[in-house]
Amino acid sequence: MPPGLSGDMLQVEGPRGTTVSIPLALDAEAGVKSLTLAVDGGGPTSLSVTTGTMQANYTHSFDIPGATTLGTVFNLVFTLTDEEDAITRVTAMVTTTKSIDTPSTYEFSRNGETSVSYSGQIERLDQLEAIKAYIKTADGGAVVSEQVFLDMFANTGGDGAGNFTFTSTKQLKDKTFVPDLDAQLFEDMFARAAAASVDGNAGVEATNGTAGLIVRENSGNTVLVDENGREFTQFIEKGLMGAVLYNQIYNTYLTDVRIGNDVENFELSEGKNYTAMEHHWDEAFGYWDPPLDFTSPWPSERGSEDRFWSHYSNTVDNVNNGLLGTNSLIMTALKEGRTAIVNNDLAAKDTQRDVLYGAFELVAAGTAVHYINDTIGFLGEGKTGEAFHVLSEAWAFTNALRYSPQRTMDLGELETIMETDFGSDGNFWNATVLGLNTAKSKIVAAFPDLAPVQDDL
Amino acid sequence: MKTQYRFTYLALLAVGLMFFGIACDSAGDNEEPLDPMDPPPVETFDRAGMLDNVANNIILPAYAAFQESTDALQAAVAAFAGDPTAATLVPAQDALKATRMAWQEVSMFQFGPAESVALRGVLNTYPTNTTQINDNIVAGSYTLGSIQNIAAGGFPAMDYLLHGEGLTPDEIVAQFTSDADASARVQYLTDNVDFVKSNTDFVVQQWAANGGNYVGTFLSEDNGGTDVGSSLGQLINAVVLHFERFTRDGKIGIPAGVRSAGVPRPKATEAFYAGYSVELAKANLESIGRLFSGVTAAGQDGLGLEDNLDFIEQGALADDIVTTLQESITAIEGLSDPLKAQIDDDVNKVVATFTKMQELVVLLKVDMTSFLGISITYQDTDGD
Repeated sequence: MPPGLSGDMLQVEGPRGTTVSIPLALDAEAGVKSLTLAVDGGGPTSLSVTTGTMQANYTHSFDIPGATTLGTVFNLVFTLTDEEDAITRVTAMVTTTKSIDTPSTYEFSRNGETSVSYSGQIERLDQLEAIKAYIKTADGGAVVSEQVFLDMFANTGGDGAGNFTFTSTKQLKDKTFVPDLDAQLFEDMFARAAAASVDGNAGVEATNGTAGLIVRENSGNTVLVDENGREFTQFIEKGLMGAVLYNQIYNTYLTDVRIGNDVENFELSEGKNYTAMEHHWDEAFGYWDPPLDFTSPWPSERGSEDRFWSHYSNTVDNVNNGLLGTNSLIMTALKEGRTAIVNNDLAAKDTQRDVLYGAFELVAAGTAVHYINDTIGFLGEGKTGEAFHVLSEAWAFTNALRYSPQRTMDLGELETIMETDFGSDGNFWNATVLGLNTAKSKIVAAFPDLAPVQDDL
Repeated sequence: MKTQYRFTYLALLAVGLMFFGIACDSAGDNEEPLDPMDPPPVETFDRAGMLDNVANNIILPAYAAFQESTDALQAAVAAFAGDPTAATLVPAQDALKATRMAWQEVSMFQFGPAESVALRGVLNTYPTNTTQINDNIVAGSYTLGSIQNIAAGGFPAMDYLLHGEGLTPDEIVAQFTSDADASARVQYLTDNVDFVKSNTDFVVQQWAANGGNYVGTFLSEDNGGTDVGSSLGQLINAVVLHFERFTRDGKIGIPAGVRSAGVPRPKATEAFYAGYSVELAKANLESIGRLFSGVTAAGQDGLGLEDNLDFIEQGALADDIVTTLQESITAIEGLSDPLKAQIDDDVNKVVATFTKMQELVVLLKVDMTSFLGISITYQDTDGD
């Protein structure tokens, strides 16, 4: 027997966008005259009931609006008036609950179809792969062309002017950190790499002040470095990982403009199976592009499934059994954040966003320390060619700490590490173990999570 | 031949049975709670005692002796620098040799403090870059230990400065007295000694119980296992890497041309100018041998890796390692100094020594580590 209109309190719950049933037992000895409903103190509206009956079951269907945020409670006051004008009331509290629980993998659907899409990000990562492959030919002594770089960077003609094996409407250049574009940072690097590749092709050996090729002792392969010993491949590839991939995550997709509380999160985007807020979160995910079930520790036999930043997360995730756990840290935040968006749980979404700002930086900082350790290790073996390579990596990952609006280290500090601690006057030939250890201790001090694993990284 | 085969077969059988026994024991230990009726747990090797012996009786005394030798070197070089003559040159050369000999006792401990300052690389990268050394002397401004100068400093640079190539003592002295850059050369020599000394002092201070107390970290219970970050894991990785790349390759193989298509590189010998490379190689290998057996420089026998292998019934492997170490030392003893002349004379003998040492790499890096449960974490190839 459902509760009657005798002052009972009804507790009902359901996810947003659904209809919940509120069962009422109407009980009026003098006969029912009318039934009204007031929602959240609003004016009463009449509900259609059979008048004159003494007892009846009545079920009210309440639509929880789709735009409702998680946890919102609606107070529904039902008022029954009998033929003698006696009044009884009952309040039903409708609580908005979760639509979904956090899934174990980054998979979300709506009406049986996936609601996740980040094809544009994948296309840009593919373009970066192509640029990396091209600059690497210069490491082997090939001459590379500035124009080819520029065409790939701006995706001229939709296929990088014929330099991509695919077509795409996206480009890296228009997503590059604007101050870097203002400074022509990458265009300048392309021009210098092209010029240096001519020397590399002529067999010029890099020395202090002269760009050219350096032999990496372990493999016997060469890398092309500039007059300061900086490897073009690392500066360009990892440079763009910071200036495009992290920049887009930090300064576009995790910002209020894209995932703030005012962004549409109910109506689906036209012709799509996602809301705008969902899609923007997925686009941040796409720039990280991990396997959908990425976790910590990650099995080595699946090591080829991660890419760019997710790859380096895995590099520092579980070092010498010292679990930094960046894979899980980031995946959990991405999954919980996306779930929160589906549930319209705006506070939880913001919480996970903050976790991500910290965790993405932790990957860059940890990787920088990893390569500083490698540099010191190679110097311990007297392998300067290897040292130039890994120091170039260390520089580029430190550089990636520039891009977050919530950056942990300030720009001046980063500048000192990159241009002095990694070799005075911005010259890697001047790098010393003392300077490298100084840089390492600064980064570890700024990221205390790194302290327990700093020597294992 | 037939007998030998049978012996091998029996030995394999014995090993197989023994494995079976161990596997049963450990499975029982893991799965069942202790019961008063159960036999007492299997006795385990005193790994902590071994690490204690290695740290307190081998590593710390070796560093102390090395540090003392650098003090003496600093004094001898100061005497020479203050008054460069043939009479002050010889003690400086002798002190350099003594330091380089003492270095052979510590160079394989490139983990912890030594690793943090890249000690082996900044003190002993060779062949030394004489062009860079002379450029530095002329420029009068340089940072020792920078990437630019890593092959222009430390012992090999002092080797070049104090011995020269084919110079008489008087000609060497003249470089520090009458040469146009004499005073800058004196300065460069002095700076190098100071550089060696400050790096050495730092590492010694970091190891010291009353300093950085790395010895405390090394002997802590936390690091007492066999996992990757454990003290034993670090020690074995460092020593095996050193033996492979710096003893076998650096001191013998590379000069003999095994990494350059068989074309010898006599200039890549460790003490090219002074000519005692064989002596250094022998000392280094002997110290690795003592470490394996847990024997101190003074000959005191304590727990070592050999005892650990014996304890887990791998006495045959332990013996094999000791034998191969001795054969490698004998092979080195069969080479004559200067190693450059030996290479010019009969490089095959040097290559044969390398080959013998290669056997040891397999025994240490593959067999020993698998029985001790240690992972080799260093790699021979690059990530990308």
